Parts: sequence; C-alpha cells; structure tokens
Amino acid sequence: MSKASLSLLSEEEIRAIHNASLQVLENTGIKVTSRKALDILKEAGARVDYEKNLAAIPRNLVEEALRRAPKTIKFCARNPKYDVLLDKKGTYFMTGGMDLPYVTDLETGERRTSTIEDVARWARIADYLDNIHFVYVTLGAGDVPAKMQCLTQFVTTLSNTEKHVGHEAHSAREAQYMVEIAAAIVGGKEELRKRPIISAMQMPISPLMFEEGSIEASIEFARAGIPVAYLDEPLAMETSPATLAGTLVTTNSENLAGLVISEFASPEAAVVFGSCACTADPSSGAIVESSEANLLNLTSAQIAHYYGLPFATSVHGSQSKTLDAQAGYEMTAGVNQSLNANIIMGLGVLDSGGFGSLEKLVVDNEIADGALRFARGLEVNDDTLAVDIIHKVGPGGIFLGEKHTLKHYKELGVPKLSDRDSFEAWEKKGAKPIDEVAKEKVKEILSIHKPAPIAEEVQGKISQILKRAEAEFLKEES
Amino acid sequence: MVNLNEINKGVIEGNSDKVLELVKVALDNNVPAKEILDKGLIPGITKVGNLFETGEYFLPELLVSAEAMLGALELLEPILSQANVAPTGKYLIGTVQGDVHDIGKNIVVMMLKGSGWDVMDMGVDVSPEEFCSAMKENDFQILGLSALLTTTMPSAVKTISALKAAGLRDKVKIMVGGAPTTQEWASKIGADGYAPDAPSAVRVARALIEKS
Repeated sequence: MSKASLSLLSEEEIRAIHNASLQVLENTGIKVTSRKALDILKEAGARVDYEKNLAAIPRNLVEEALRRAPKTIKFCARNPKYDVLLDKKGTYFMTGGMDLPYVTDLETGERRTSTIEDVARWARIADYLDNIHFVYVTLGAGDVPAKMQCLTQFVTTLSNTEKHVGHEAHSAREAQYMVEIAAAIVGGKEELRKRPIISAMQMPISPLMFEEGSIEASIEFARAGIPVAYLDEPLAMETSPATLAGTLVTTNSENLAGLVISEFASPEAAVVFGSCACTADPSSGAIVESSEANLLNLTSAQIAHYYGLPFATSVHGSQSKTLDAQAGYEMTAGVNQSLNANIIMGLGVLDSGGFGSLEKLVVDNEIADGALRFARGLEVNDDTLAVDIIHKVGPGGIFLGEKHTLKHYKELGVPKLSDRDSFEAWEKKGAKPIDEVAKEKVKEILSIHKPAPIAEEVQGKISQILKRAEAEFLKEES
Repeated sequence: MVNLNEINKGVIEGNSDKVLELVKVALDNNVPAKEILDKGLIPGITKVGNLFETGEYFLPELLVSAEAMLGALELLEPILSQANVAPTGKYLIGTVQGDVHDIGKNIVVMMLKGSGWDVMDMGVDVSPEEFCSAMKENDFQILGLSALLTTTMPSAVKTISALKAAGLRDKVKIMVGGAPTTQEWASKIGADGYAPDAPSAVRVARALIEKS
C-alpha cells in the first residue's frame, strides 16, 4: 500500500484547473468522429454539431458523470491471487505499450522486428517479475497479418501470464472480440463483469479529439463492464498549450469528456483517468521526456484524486536506445516522480516507446521494487519505536543479535538485481555491468518459468473466436 | 521611400501587423510586387531559416515568422499571378497514406511559399492514387512526401511505385522528409532528395530544380 503522495498543486489550484476544464468543455467542446458517441452525448444533453463532429458538454453532465463513476475498480486476473482493487491510493506497475514493432534480440543485442514468439516471451517474463502487477500487451507481432495483430497478441499474452492483461482496441468489433475471448476464459460475460480480467487503455488525440474506432471500442468496454483508462499523450507546446497548467486543462478536459461518454453509454462504467504527457523539443517537435513531463503526470494524478478517481500514467520508458546510464536515470526519475499515480506503465521500453527490451524489463522491475518499498512508508508504534530495545542495547551496543532484530529485519528490503559486491568480488565474477546481469536473468527466467496455460477446452473456444475474427477482418483486406 | 529591409526585419521579428502594414505602403508607393517578394520577404524568411539552423530560433519562432510572411503573401499573390510572374517553382506536397501528422509538412509549405514557390498542399493521409491524380492534372517540378511514423514510411515507397506505373516518375523530382526518414532511406527508395527540416528542404528544393 503506497503512502506516497507528493503534492505540487494546492487544492485551490486544482479547483482552478477543474473550472477551466468545465469552461473548455462547455465553450470549446470536443471533436468526436463517431456518430454513435455523438448520439450518446446528444441524448445526454450535450450540444452536438453532426456536420463538424463537435460536441459542447455542459457542466451538469460532467457532474453527473463524476457521481456515476465508481471509485474502486476491480482489476482481476486469471489467477485470483493477482486480483487488485484499484482506487486512488496504492501504486501498481504495468509493462509499456503499445504494439511496439521492435525488440532487442537476446543473442545479438540488436534491435529487430518483434514476432509473436517475442510477445509470448514478454508475457512470461512479466508474469515472473514480482513488481509487475498488470501485463500490457507491449510488443507487436510483425509476423501476423496487420488486421489480426491486436487480437493475436492479446490471446498470446493472456496465454502466457496469469496476471491481469491490458490492451488497446482500435474498433468496436475488436473490442467485442476481446470481450468474447476474456469471457471464454472466466466462464461467461456475466462472470467477466464480476471479474474483469482485462482492461483497456484508449487514447484521446490531443487536443480534445476522440477518434471513431477508439471511442467506439471504449463504449463497448463500458457496456461489457471492462475498465477503461483514457490515456492521452499531449506534447506541450504542440498539441497542448506551452504552459504546464494549460496542458493540465486540456488533459483534464479530455479525461472528463471520456468519462461523460463512458458514463452515459453505461452508468457506473469503470473509468480510470490517465495521461502520459511530454513536452515537445523546440527544434524538432519530437517527444521530450523530462522532469516537466513527470510533473505533468504527477499533478494530473492529483486532479484525478480530487475527483476520487484512480489515475494511470506511462513513464514512456526512457529515450535512450540502449540499457545504459540514461535509461537508468530517466526510468528512475520517471517512476519516482510519478508515484502519485495508481498505475504506472512503461516498464521494459526504450527509445520513448520505440522498442521493447526484456533486459530492461528486468531492470525496471528492480526500479519499481525500490519505488514501492520507498512508497510504503514505515510503521510507527510502540514495538517499532523500540525504546525498550534501545535501552537494553545501550550506548555503543549492537542490535544484530536481538530478538527484536530477528523479528523485524526482513522488513528491510534488499535490492535483488543490483550489484553490491566488493570490487574484487565483482571483478572475479566477470566484472559484469547491469545490462549483462539482466540478460542472464532473462535467460534464467525463460528457462524455469512456465505460467499456467489456459484450460484446453477454453483454448479451443478461443481458436474458434479467432477464426471468426480472421474471416471478418482479413476478408475486408482482400 | 519604403525601405524593404524593414519588411525583412518584421518577418524576422515575427511581427505580422508590421509586415502587412509595410507591404501595403510599398504597394501604394508602386513598388512592384515581385520586388517586395524578392527584396522584402525572401531574405527575411531565409534569415529566419538560418537562425533556426544555428539553434537561435526554434519552431515557435519559425512558425510566427512564417505566419507574418504568409499574411503578406496573401496580398501579393493575386498581383503576382496577374502580372504572370513565374514562381520559383511548383511543388506538390502531402503526408503519406495512413499518417495524419502535418506540423512539419506545414512548416515546409510555409517556408517554400515564403521563398516564392507555388505550393499545392494535399493535406494528410494522401493515397498514392491521389498523388498520381494531382500529378496528372498539373505540372509540378517537385513532389514532397512527409512521413512521421516508421509504419507509414512504406506508403512513400508505394507512392513512388504508383508514379512509375502511371508513367509519371520521370516528370518530377521527389523529396522525402519526416522524423524517422534518413538520407540513406531516401536513396534506397529512389527519391531524389531528402531534408531533415524545413529550412534545408527549401535549399534542397532549389538545388533540385537548378539541376534539371
């Protein structure tokens, strides 16, 4: 349980951003290129212009949507021991995303096209690592036909981890198939409602736009009882204002708009607020991950918590192209400066989400471990204050042999992957830098770890579902 | 007397009002539109491009200066076409199929226009067929293809193939650009030119038509 709560926005400032967002939604509105979503908004009472695909959302709709939104959301898993009850406290880590076309080759270290085998390996490693709570379908499968990639990657991931699986759907049909597949695993659509073993990250397009496939998928998920996180990716000064507060306003407006659509598509739909903001490089317009980006994510979390809602962010993974010092410090800064967030995505990714790295996933797990232990805080009570023991040991004494020490010492976590040897010992063991150690760990995990497979009859059902999807999606291509 | 240098300064400062005002005064004083363009606007936007390349100006400055210049161009264009003044060249540009990114392309368009080019911007997500149609209906010296995603770079290749199939490839020089693109890739796919940013795109474009 995380006690970490860095507050960089006062409540007054949060209210100012909230009011600014209400103004934006009422006067500027949002663009939604989906007839279905516009109809939902119109029926709810928004002012809709069907020709321009614009909707102005009055504040009473926002207030009603906030009332309807559940404040605790179940993130269940194939194996119930991994079930999580998500709320505005607590910090959980998730692998990065989405559909990354490349991965680093374990043997050559080179970046190459990712395959369905890589997707499976990724899920197995994520399944093994203690500090990855949710498994996002990070890697794309270049050896699968484009239109079947999403579903195939999704099924492969579900088959190779017993933890909660996250994904992104690009259309209502894709979402419906994902729901069918998940329902087959838990034993029916009603069972899935009670135990949603999947969730979706759907991305608004900053500023203030919702694309047809994405928002219609969101609507399907809302109706099926699947949690949806609206994760935008504004580039401050490009797709959001150059001011941080202005970016918080556009992000918050996008989240509130997504919430309104979800809650009026299906009351009490489970919605997580989200954002993975960055700034734009003033020379090239490209993404910059930075303290400013982390600051945006942390303060966005504060705003979501003001509404009582959980918040998801991504730390983008690091802009470095290799597992080096930059990757280490960017990831550590990103994770620790985002600790207010309830879901932190982005583990295992390099090049700002250009490609995945199994070695980095192992290192990021270590960074997450440190962050979680830090965020746990400490317990203050008579036993832990240890006044009696301090008296017993006395000035100049030693605590190592005390029963109190024996009782408590395991609470002091120890980093597992990081090297702590003496110089000589380190040299003797091969003088390995951390990326080499991580690579060995990956190979070790792959050789020993086998997540429980999906039951055979269910596998059969899933194959049938995939065949139907293939017939539908690939037929469109030809 | 109108000092055309003042117009240049206005462009470099990104001062739209000043530029528009001074251009109007110049026109009222019967300074030929072509002279205003050549001596009052083009040097200004060229200087802006240089400042960008040396890292003194960044995208915001580039855009604001380009806006100032475009405002003036709107006044000058009807006069220039009436007087049958030849543009620097004719340029067709668009973001390739599957890609909706356009900020970079838009800056290239502004810089080209500011350098006297006649630019037709086809927008985003332009299919190879659409490029071919536009090529058939007009004479362009250069076709510029912009792609910001590694996954849409293949659309540039498809566009070049479509032009070949339609017998149009030899009629135009092709330039490519966009964050993931490189000179190496441009050469590999048979493009005639590549530029990493808008100011160099203008230089490459000029070099391409001077060659032919």
